[in-house]
Amino acid sequence: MTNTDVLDVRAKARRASRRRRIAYVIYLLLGMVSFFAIWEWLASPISPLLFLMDDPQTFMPRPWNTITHFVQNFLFSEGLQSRYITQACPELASERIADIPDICFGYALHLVETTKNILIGAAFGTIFGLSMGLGSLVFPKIAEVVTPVASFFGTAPIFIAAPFFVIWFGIEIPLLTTIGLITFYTTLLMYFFSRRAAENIPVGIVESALTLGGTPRSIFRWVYLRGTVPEIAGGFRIALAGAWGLGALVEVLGPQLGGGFLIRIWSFLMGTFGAAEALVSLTVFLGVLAVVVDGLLVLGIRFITRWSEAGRRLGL
Amino acid sequence: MSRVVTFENLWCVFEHRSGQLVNALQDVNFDVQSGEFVCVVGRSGHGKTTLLRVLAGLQPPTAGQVRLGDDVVTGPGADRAMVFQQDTVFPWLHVQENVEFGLRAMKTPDSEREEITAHWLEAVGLTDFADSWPRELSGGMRKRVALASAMAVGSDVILMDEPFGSLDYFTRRNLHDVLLDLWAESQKTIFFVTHDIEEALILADRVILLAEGKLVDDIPVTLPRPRDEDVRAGAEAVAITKVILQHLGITEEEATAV
Amino acid sequence: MKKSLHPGVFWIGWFVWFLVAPWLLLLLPDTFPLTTWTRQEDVLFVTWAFLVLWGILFWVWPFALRFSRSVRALVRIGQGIRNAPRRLVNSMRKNPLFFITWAVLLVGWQIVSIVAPEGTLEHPLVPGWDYVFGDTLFRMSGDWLLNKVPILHLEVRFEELAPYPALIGDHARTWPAVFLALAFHSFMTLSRLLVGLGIGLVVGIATGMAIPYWPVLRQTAWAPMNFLRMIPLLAAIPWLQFGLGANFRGAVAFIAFGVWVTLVVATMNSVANVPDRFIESARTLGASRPYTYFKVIVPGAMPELRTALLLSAGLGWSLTIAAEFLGFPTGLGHMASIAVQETNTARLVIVAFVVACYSLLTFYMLNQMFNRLVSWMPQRAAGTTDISKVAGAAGAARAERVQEV
Repeated sequence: MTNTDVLDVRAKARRASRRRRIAYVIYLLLGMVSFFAIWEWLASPISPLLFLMDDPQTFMPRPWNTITHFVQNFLFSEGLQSRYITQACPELASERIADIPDICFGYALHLVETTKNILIGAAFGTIFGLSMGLGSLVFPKIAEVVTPVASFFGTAPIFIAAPFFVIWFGIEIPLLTTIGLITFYTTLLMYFFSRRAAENIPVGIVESALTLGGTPRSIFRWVYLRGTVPEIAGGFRIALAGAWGLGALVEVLGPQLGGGFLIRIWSFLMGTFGAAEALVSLTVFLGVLAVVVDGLLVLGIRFITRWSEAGRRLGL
Repeated sequence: MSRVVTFENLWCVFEHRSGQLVNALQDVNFDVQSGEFVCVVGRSGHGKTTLLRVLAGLQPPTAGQVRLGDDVVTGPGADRAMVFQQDTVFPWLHVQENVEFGLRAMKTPDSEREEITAHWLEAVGLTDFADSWPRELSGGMRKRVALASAMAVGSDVILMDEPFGSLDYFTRRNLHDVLLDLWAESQKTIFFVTHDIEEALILADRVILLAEGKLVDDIPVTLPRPRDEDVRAGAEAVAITKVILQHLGITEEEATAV
Repeated sequence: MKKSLHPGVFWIGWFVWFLVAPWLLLLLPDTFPLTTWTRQEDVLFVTWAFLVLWGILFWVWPFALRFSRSVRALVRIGQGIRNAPRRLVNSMRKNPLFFITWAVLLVGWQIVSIVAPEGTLEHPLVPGWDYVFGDTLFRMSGDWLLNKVPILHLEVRFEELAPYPALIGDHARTWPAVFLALAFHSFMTLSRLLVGLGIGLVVGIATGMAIPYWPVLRQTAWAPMNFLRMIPLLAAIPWLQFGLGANFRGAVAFIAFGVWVTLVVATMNSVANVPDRFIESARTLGASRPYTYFKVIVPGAMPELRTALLLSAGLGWSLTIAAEFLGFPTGLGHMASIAVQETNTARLVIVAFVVACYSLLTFYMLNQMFNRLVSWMPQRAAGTTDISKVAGAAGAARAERVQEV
């Protein structure tokens, strides 16, 4: 085989790998296109939702209308309050009118509020959960006390905890309703994830650290605290993904601010112009927000766990 | 039934994550006659496994081709059954179902299938474990199951990729005997990849040496069988060992120093 | 040796029958004598009749047979009951902190309820246990209000069923009505959940297994499915209420969709995680692509689904309770919403307790079912037989670890 043949072989290999990269982008675009195509189908007169509802076109807005609705109301949502009073069911309006503050801010403010509450709750929960989970490595008694209780509360569907927070904080301190529930939920999950991460550290590594002269303190710091990071980070992503739905739903129940609150108001206006667009766009853009925050999280996790194969896989 | 395996101008180039190109195989040419026991020896990362995967049809070559008789290898098939380094016994099938796997895939008639399965289970000494789950077997026994599965599909060529690498010395020696018996009985062509020179001396008719993806030597091993400790300590065996060590870039001083 | 039927066949058959059979009744023509059966709510009854029937057929009967054959088993049960107090004392001695913790929690709650200021509300914010399981539980007989249940036809049937019709007022409260109230609302919740969860599980796993068969489909579906999974469905419950309607079909569709999304992504991931070596081994043994898919990839992907199964059951529960809370006139979630309207913590405690018990049972059953499906898997780590450890979020985290062992 001559030199030029070898070059040819190498060019072939390069071409193949470039083709793979292009295919990845094409499939991504194809996926997005099919996503919107199916959505358009759901909103069309031949919608498969006809099997489930009488009038799908009223409740399932077209993708383009949803996006424009969201953009138009992004910074400044005009006349939501007056429309609420005039168009919504009058007896409902008279009942709930006191609940509605003067809405002149757009969806952006409310979504930022939701994001803020969820992140604060998740941060507190992570601090509590990790300190209990990792603390139980130093003081095993903590696990004996916490695990049965946490298992019991972890068993119940987490939503059933929401009404407690609504009753206890809903009237006086509505902010605590969202943050409190997310904190509770994240604490439970992070406790179990950190325990599991610690249990997954191979015994061999700990024993090896012992033979190298490790003290309990140094092993905790250099083996457990460092070694559990990838799995705890993965657990945090799972916890946060669940927190969005929970946070938004609690806002539907109580607080006067946030994406869930908007959903509540628009649901009173259901059947009027723009209400379906509002409900669907708020839900979908909460999802977009979740994806964006998750993406940022992945970047962060990828950096702090760059030594780990598992961490790298998480980033994919 | 028996066909000659031919490697022609075989090239395999991979792209590393960093974008660098790696030559796993460079212009490999050789033939193997039917019924031969060929050991492919080399350092790790020097193309042994790639050679076997190309022959199995699991990895398309970048250039060149592998032929089995007159047929060019284009994909995996039952004429080239492979035994892998890792545990590939399907844990969700009973031992017997594992051995039957290839026959069922080829829709062999029931009576014939049962006969073949029973024969190979007996040949590897696992008749009593036919209804066990793989998790109930030891590592060596699972390797026997893999061996029986590969034998049962009735291929001309059996490919083995460091199959006994993860086993302890005694189990490995025991399986060498099992394998040589099966080979003697079936007269199949066997490709056996290993980095263990002793293993190659015990098993091979012929040793193919690979270094940096190139075929560097092709050594016939004419030692008398069975190759016990005395044979392997003989002058001829020692000479072969020295040649292999030299080609792999280990001088005699280095070898003895280690 | 003769092979017994794969246990998976039993479960899949059970599910298919359970899901399909009642709906077949809907196809009956109007002229059929039993037309009233084709009403949706009645279909629920038929569904449950099937459930009970199949339960008797497959569980009660074989167990009864086994027990009648073996007196020793009965003796063992007797011994178990006799030894229960001793074992309780033993476990208290071995693990005192467990009991101390719960005692402190329960007694602490009672003390707080006594110390806490009464406030201006009708019900205490922190009710004592006597208040919870005494007065509040008794008042729940008021939930046995058939005239409020929008199922006209069933009303008659319920009253025939039990001689405790809807009565309002303190003097009319009875303990059997408390039981009936809880049973009725549990029945509504469990119907919605189980049918939704069942459809979601079956269709979700099937779709998740089918999509990766065609690489083009897999690569196309990857991004949109992952996005769908991130959409907070709980926030869309108001949409469910008005869009799909607050009825059985709407709830089932919604729960099934949530479970479906979770499971499709999880199944696609677990198919991708089937070790290459198994697939390559099958291919070199001469298996065709479809054969490899059904015999190697499908079973190989099962073990990883345990976590996803438990997580999706948790999501199903949350969706059911939340949907009932916001827009349904029946179900345990509705009972919870009454509690919030009355700011009645005591009532909420009872509902939460009942829901926790049911979800524990669901997780336990799912886990058992799953164990049957993957009986070939290597033995699980010791200590995982504890129910509390296989359930819910806790169980999901736990189960993933078990899988890796």
